[in-house]
Amino acid sequence: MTFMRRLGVVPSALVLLAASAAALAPGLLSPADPLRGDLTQRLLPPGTAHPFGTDELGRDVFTRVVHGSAPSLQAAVIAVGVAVLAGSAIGLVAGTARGRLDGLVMRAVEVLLAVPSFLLILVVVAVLGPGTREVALAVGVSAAAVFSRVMRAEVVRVRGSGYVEAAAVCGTGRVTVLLTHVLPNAAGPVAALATLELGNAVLTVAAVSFLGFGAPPPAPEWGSLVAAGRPFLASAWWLTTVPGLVVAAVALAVNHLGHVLRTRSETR
Amino acid sequence: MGRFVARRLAQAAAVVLAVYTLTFAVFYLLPADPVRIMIGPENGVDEARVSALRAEYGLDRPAAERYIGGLLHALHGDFGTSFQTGREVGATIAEAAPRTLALAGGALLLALPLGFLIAWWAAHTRRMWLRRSLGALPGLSLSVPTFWLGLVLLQAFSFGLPLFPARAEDGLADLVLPAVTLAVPSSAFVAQVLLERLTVEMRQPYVDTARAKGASRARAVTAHALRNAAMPALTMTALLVGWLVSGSVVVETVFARNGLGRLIESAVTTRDLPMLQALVVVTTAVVTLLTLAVDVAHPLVDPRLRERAA
Amino acid sequence: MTPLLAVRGLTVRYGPPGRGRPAVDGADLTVEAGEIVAVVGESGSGKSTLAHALAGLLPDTARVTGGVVTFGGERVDGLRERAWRRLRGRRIAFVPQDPGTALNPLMTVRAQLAEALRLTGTPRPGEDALEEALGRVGIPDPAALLGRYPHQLSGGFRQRVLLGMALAGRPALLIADEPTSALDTTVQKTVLDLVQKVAARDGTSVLLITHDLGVAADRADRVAVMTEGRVVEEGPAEQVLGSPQAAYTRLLLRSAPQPLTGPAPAPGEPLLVVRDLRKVYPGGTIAVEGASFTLDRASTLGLVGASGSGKSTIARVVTGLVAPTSGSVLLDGAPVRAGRVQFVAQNPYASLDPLMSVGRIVAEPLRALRAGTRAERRERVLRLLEDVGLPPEVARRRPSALSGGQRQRVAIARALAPSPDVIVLDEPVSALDTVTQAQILALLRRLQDKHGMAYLLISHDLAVVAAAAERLAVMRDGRIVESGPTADVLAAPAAPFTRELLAAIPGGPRRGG
Repeated sequence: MTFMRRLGVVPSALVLLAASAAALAPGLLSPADPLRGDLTQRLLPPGTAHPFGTDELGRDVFTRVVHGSAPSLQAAVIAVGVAVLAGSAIGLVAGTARGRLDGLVMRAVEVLLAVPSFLLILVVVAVLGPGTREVALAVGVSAAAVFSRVMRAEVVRVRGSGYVEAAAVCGTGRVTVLLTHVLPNAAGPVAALATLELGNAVLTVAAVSFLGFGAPPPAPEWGSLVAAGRPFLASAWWLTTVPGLVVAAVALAVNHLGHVLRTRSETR
Repeated sequence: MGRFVARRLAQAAAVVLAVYTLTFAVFYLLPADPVRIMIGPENGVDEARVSALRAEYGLDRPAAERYIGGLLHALHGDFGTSFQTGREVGATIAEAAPRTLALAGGALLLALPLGFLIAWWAAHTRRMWLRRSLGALPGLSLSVPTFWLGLVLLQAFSFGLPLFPARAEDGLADLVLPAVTLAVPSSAFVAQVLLERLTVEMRQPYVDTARAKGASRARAVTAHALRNAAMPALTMTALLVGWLVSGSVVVETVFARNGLGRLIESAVTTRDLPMLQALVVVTTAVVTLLTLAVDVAHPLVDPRLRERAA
Repeated sequence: MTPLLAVRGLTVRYGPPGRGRPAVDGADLTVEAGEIVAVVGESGSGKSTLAHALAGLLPDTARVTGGVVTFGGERVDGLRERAWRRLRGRRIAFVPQDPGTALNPLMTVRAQLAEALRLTGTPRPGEDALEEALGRVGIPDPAALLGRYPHQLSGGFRQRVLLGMALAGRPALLIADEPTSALDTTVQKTVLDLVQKVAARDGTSVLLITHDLGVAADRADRVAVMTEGRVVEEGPAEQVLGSPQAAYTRLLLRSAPQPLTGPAPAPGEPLLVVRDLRKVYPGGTIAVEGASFTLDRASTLGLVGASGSGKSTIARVVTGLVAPTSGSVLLDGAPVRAGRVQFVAQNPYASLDPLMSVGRIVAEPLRALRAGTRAERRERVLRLLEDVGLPPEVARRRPSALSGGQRQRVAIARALAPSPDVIVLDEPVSALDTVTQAQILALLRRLQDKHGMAYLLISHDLAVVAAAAERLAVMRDGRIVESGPTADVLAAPAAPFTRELLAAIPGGPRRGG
């Protein structure tokens, strides 16, 4: 059983490794220019020369997918980073302060959570304008509310725990208790949520980019690649299917590895 | 009980008011001028045109006056006129809503039974492989991008096997593929929440008690654990409606359907702020009311809450 | 005559075969018709897994991998779920451990009892059938109880309802898995009395799973002692408990708390003086109402009471965790200074930070008081660990790598670190097994002789307090109802509540004598 589980981790790890390599060093995986097409090579199906086929301008889809990794993944990582940092800070303040400030902050968080998250993202995009960085920020802001809620709950839980009580009897100061007991013990569930949110962010960033709010064309992004293939749905299936499959594979790999990490830290 | 409902109603009203205020603040007060947001940073700014537009939409009046006035009108369903089309926002939304509601309703109709079935089956089967497979299904479905799923379905069933129209505008047939596209992740949400709760409940000693009385596993799940696990799943359903409305942005784009989703998309693209504000406030109000309904139903199911609510 | 239940070499494993030791490892057990058999063991001995296996209620992760079980002369090991369903409820009944969670919180007593009757062959149970079933388990006004929900009942009544449901099908065998360990001692006694009475009346055999030797001695015809998945000794109760053969049984018997003997302590020098303590929590709950007591230097004062009597609040006030509403706590005539009063809490699993090494945990009070250099602190930690009987390498480990008893030793070492005058022990052994409990109590005594601090020992268990404290105070509803030298209080209890507590101690006469 554990063998099977380990076996399952390998494909996910490989997918993630390949995606990270594509994001960090796209030229290494595909030295071709993602923006330059060869008009004699238009709309070719996947084959040996072009593993993912070519588009209507004769550009290699594989190259475009590889070069689209960096903005797509960066946006997801930045989004989770923003959510974790902003959310944790808000949750920490609310959970530590308690009383009126806590009530006020949590009411505000409740209001943000009442708006469906994808709608909230689009509102932020409407204000900031389109672009990869703007989308990342929008996704991060919309996810921050959940993080602040989890962080606050954890801080409250740990503060009521037996070992914080013991520390208080020992005479340990409040700040020391916060730094040595509360923060480290509250970090675990927040980290678990972050792995969950990363897979989500990959999908959301792609969806927003699909709608045309990501980087302006002709820059390649996973979501906009799928959107660009829509007119050729009936004739050139690979233009939409293959980039979409890449998004699904990366999201699945992230979710799977996150799940494995979470269950492992739970059983420990 | 009456006081409990009244209190929750007041809370819901406060949330919707806060969302109205927040969108007003973000759109009309924070850094940029709404007209400049509308024109967009990429276009050059013609000062004369800007002030003409400001006057046209009443943006030159004091903020407090606009806020109060807008709020009073909004309470009567009047959200002003669209920056883009010049039509009344309320009427445009009312016109688009039924098509999206049909889509969301169709998706829910598919997703709820499917999600319940997956969770219920996974919870009581003794076959480990079946339980594992059913348990992995939601995570798998949630890793598939909705926009891509829609396109794949279109490719397979409209172009490959021409079973469903690719872009017809009426009838049930054109509802099937979009509804299925939204139902896949929705059923996964429902199954995930319900199965998680059911797994916890199945370990509770009262399930052992039921089985010790002679009840079958299926009965222990259905009559005992499911009842205890149902409430979180219902709360989830209320939130799901909000997710479906925002999810319709993608699905209506993919299937070229008109509805709230397309309205949202075009409001974001053209930065039609009155339209976007109205859409956000209305959607949030619907979700908040549904959540409220579930909360009020909660004590009806759980006697422990009944006493606290009284 | 064939016995009602015969278990030969039963083996139950969790997880895949060939991994680790089985939870039940070739256990043998016999229950004759009409007999009460107690299975005694500590947590992890496999007794609860055995009980679940015999009711066909093993979790999905567990599997019977060997042995033969016959019930009424027929083999029941390896029965299919469908066949088990015909046995459960009608022939074999099961009462789970915690009455707080063993009833469905969303269903009335009527609905749950009616389900039990329907499943055991009464198609449409009428009101009189329901009332009769509750009447049989000693519920005085069954009609009124039927409409209630579980959370509206006390623990004792919930356990009676569970018993009523279990007995609804007139089973031949009742398996009770620690039926009273979650209840207060006095309630425990009434529930066990009831089990005994009903079994005798109906001729039902009872398999009573318990960690408490006293319960086994009081109630069982025969006793089986389990450890590490095996039954190490089985026989008539008097024989097993009177002249035990197995080494483990002897250890278990030796570990049962014995009341302190010897002359009453001479009045000592008052150290901690608590006067007219009153604590009202926000919301108006009065936890403590005018409690006064004195703790002498280098002595132990036991504070006994049921849950909710206010004894834990006193612990929290004395350690400074909560401020009293009124009254005073004085140490040597002055308010308590930091580090002079230390605390050992009930649950050793919750009181140690799971992410810290044991060394850092024990050094925490030293760091808080800025005592010594880093090297001096490390040296002191090693000496403290030695004091509480832990090897030095434990300092590098995390709490999760330690057993419950070891964790409690770490908590004691931490409390010792600043050389306090008083250590408040809040239920220090109630989460531990009998053998570990005895070891920790012995350790506490040894440390007191060596370092001369005073203990305020708080417990719901009169037996534990009697074994460790030379003076005791009995609390009820926030007040101290009786206090004095332990030997005097035990010999001639003045308050009716103290007499009730004394009578409810399982295994009373044997242990007291």
